Amino acid sequence: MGNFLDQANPTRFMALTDRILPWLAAASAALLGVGLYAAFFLVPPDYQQGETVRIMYVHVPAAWLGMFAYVVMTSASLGVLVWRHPLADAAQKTAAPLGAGFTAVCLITGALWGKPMWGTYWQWGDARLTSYLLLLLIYFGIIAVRLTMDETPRGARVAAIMTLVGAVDLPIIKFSVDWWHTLHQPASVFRADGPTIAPSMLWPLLVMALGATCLFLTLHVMALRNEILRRRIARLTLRAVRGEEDAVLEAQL
Amino acid sequence: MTENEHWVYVALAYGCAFAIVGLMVWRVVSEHWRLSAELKRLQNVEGERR
Repeated sequence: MGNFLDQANPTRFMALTDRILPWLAAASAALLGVGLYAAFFLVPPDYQQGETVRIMYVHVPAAWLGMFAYVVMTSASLGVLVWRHPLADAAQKTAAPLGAGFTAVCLITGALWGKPMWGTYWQWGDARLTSYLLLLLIYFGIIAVRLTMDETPRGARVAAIMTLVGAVDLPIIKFSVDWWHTLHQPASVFRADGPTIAPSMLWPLLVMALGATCLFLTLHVMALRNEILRRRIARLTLRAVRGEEDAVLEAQL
Repeated sequence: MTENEHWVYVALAYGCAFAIVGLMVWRVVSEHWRLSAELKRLQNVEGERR
């Protein structure tokens, strides 16, 4: 582990991602292109839901990614608290806005799917819906902490602790449909007895999910690179200011 | 409710999703351009000073 952490320094990360990023972006575009084409032109209308089933191809990947981003943040938070690794701190910070974005997509598309199918956009008594809304609020809380206590080790630690505490919402989201009677349907892909979705509808969903995951990774790597650039700029600016102060002092002497 | 009315929800869902994801992509890419230009400028200033 120690060796891995030594390797994961910002300079090596920039060099590695220089090579990986174009491939990751191309994979996202190709997979999302194929997935969207299949979702609109190859998948038949559902016998109960009709055309609204097509919302599933954007709603479900967004739901998975909203949670995946939080898993990334939780792992990074452990890196911040246990190893105090600078890249872990940057990874935690940059994943939050992306996770919040995908969570918002999931909630909005879910409401738009719910209206024609359930007759309502929102149901406060539904455990899946409210626990997922709570995830968005946790993201907002973490982003707010980062905005107010940015660039300080204390801010990084507070955000990391908040992330670890908020992680308790992930199993609640996952198992809410099993623990309580919900308007939201139970799991239909990741089940012990296999998926309940017809193969003709399942494969485009998996392609979209893979494409969306590649998109998240592309954006996260780019945001991480931005964070490294931001810290380099801060260092250079500080050095320039100190240089000017030294020159003024020398002139005064 | 007719099938045509259902398409409105599908179009709205995809429209919102593209808008939010597009905003995230634009934010990250524009930030990259801005930071790269700023870093280059600072490196040039430091190079001239040396």
